[in-house]
Amino acid sequence: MSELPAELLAEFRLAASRALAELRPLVASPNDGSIAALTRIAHQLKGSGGSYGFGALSKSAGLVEKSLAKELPSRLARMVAELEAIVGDLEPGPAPVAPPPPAPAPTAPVQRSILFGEDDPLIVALVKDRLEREGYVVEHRVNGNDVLAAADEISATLIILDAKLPGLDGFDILARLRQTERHARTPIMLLTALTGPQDAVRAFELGANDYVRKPFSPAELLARIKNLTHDR
Amino acid sequence: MIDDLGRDRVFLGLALGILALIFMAIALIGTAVRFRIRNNETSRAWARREQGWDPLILAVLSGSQPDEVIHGLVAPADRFYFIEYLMRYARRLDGPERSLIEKLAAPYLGALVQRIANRDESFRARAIRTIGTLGQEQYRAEIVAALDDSSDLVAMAAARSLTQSGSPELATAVLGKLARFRQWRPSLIASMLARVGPAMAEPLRALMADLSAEAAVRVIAVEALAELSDPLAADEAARLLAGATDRNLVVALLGLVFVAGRAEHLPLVRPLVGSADAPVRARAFATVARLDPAFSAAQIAEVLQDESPWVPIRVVEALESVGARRLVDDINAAARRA
Repeated sequence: MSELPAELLAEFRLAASRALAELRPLVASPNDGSIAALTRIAHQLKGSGGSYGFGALSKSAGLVEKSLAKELPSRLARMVAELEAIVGDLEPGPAPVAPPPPAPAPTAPVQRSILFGEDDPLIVALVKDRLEREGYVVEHRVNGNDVLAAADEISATLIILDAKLPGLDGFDILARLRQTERHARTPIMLLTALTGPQDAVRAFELGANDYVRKPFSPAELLARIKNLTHDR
Repeated sequence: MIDDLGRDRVFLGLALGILALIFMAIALIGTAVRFRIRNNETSRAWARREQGWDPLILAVLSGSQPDEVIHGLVAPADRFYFIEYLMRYARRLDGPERSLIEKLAAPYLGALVQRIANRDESFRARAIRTIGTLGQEQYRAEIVAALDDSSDLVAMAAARSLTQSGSPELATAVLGKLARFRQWRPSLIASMLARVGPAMAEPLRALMADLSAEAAVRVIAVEALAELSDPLAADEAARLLAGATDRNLVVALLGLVFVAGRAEHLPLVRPLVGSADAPVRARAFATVARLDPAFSAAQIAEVLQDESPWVPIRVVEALESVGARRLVDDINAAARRA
């Protein structure tokens, strides 16, 4: 059982309930899209189970994900049964503690959330997948104005910006965030198709901590993010 | 009576004609709707296939699944679509993940190679572009051979692919075929060659100095060297200025001296300030302004009083492109005073 603070456990329970709501109809009536959906949910459970301290669940979900890919439709029933077992693990869930502790325990793991402004759905999928596998929570926005608004609402450990976003572009967002007290020191990375050295210079002059050019390697991106968030 | 009968026939003919048109319109609408429905169904079918592939591709890219898992999901009829699907990933990825995408595509590229012999040039060009992106190593000979394709579109696809490989050996194969890209913008071809990097400088220098080569081909080489800011090429370019007669070549050589030259090249550039050709004059003025530390107010006035209004504009544009802010400010101030 996880030893996380009550707020984080409550948050995990909420995410688990959502996964259950998606799983139940799939289990009841499997269809053509079941494998993809089950793989996605198992993948999410593997990532979130690990980052919230449910090691057994994470491992089990990882095995399900792997077997789903290998043993396609004919073995779907067995896979569904295995997922049911995960659902069973989740349902008792840790009870929420009514009064939240006054201050986080010094050993409590820090939730690493990343705000990601990007309008290319495939890049979003690539980055989200890689980061969520590592336990990061990725908040994604398509429009520059929405990124700026989300930066106020989310306590992001790191912000990744595409330079060419609809609405405000990445450079504008970067400049505005650096003018706020809240994000004066938040690590900000630009992930962009602009390859000219002058664009990188402009980004660093505006206060970017890193500049990654597209096409990119998700593995390298992850290493850079870990470096910026001191997650090595 | 006869008139009435004739009118009835005309009326009947018109009515039948209108009916026929209505039937034709209905048939056309029906066909359009049928095609629309069929296209929507095809799109939905492809979307379903992609939904099955997406999570597995992501799992393979992250290393949590072996790449073999994907192959069982691709039916033989879907192989071309699967290659196009992988192209979307290949365009966005670099490093080990890009190599993985190439590995995933490898078993399906053989069928695509057969399309290089297709009669339709757009099919051939597309096949070369895809093979060049996903199977450069495997099908190098086919891509180099496509430089000699009867279609310029296909040859350009091959040239792009070879220069994007980053390999100077492969890009040098393109140098030998530059003459066939005459109708393309020289700066486009020059950028493709320069992107390979400084390793291209030596063969480009040799082409620039080759007096037997076509001027248009030498212009491409000179522009690529200017993009590389090659200082050794600037020495040779300044020397070649004296004997060059082709206007585009002279302008390109001046452009190379402008970006990579030194003050010692000034004696070879100054005579061209008096050229009768405005583009040559403009580039020569800009080069002198940049390289001569003693570029004077009198020379600025000379630029502003040029008979062609394009000369001062081109000079300012050139200086701005290399960040010579002080000179641009001086010219602007002189223009305001004038």
